[in-house]
Amino acid sequence: MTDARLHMSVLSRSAYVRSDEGRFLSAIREAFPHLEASPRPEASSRPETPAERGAPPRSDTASLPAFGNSDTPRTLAYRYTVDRKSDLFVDSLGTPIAHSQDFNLYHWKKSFVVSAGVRSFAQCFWEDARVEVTVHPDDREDDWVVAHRLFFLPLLEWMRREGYYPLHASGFEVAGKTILVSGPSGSGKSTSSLAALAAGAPFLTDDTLFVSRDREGKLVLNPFPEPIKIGRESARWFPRWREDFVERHGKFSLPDSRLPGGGRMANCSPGLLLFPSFSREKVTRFEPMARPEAMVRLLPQSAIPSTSDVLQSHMDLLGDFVEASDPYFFRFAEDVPDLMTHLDRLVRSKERSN
Amino acid sequence: MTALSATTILTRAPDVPSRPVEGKGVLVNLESGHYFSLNVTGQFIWSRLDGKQDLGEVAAAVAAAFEVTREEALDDTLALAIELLREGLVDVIRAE
Repeated sequence: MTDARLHMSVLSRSAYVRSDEGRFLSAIREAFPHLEASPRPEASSRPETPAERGAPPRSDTASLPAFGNSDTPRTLAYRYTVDRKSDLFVDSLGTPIAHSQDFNLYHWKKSFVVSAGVRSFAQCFWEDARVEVTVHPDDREDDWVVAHRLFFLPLLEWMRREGYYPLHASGFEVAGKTILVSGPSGSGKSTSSLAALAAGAPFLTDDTLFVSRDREGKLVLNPFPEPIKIGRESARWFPRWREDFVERHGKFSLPDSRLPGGGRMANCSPGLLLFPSFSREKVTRFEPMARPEAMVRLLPQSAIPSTSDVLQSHMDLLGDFVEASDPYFFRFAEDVPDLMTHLDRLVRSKERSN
Repeated sequence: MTALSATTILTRAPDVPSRPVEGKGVLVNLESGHYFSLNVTGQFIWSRLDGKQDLGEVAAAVAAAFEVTREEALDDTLALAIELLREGLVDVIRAE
């Protein structure tokens, strides 16, 4: 038997769904000065949100309208719901969560709409390089709605259409080789970033980067400048920054102004690609991973559903990126101070084997 | 669901971006938000669901490439095709 197999997973946008407070606003405003908040449009010119047009309250993909461009709002991919109270973000293909707000992406006429519930939404006009953001008065104090839903997700989609494909990863350099650590929030990306910075390693990005191609077609990894954020447990490994960390809602943030050395690298090329998981062992270990598995693990950390052609381009670039990288399982133990020594050893052994 | 046989012709659904990586494959169903991985045989079959070859012809290619009997190859091809159809990843071009 040849045993042809199909294995299914859920493509969740939860990789990019986090409860951060205004973290992207300054970076977005700096990078995209033409992004401007617009006054709330008149009701007649405002696109009808799914809730207003009577879309089903349950997140049931089978009952949602088919995807496609048309003059009526249509759900682009699927809805998901976020539970903000527990700070736990759950893909809601199955069951909505209490105390949640719906979030939708859909096409409306020639625009791409990101709506947060029925009140606030961002309408993206790609051809005009313009995003109109409408924030309901009740949402104005909600940094997460404004920063994440109405700015960051449109930004990601916009960047993709400009040839910059997002990847949820931290990045730095060890012994001349790029190290990317990719995984969901809380998996060890920021701890790796700070360990690298503490060791004086060239630093690229903490949480998000954009993969693009240069004029010769070579893959380029571009940083997304935002403060490094780390949990209280992990912050204890880095007492040197105790005075520099800014604490908010149980997270510690290290602004760019406190980065040691020359700040961030402008960009770099693919190198080692690490997928972290916390280990109960005493010593951190790395094990080679097959590239197809790396592709499957990378997809939910990178590809938010979009139109078919945009996602196909995204997957093509992601596939090239995986094929240009050396993927590893990263069994992250408690020996954080020794992490850079382990990585240095890994890079050098990889170079010897080549 | 449509009954599948050696004479059925399937084609990859238009809104299913896919990408091969070292012989295996990854597919995304934009409608459902589900993504799928295919092993080497599955990717071999998927790449041949072009709306022209029937499943019997695809199975013949499987038999030649993986050195199994035509019967075994057809069983595997049909089994995968049923899964792909159930998940909305392929469209039926010819049903008989």
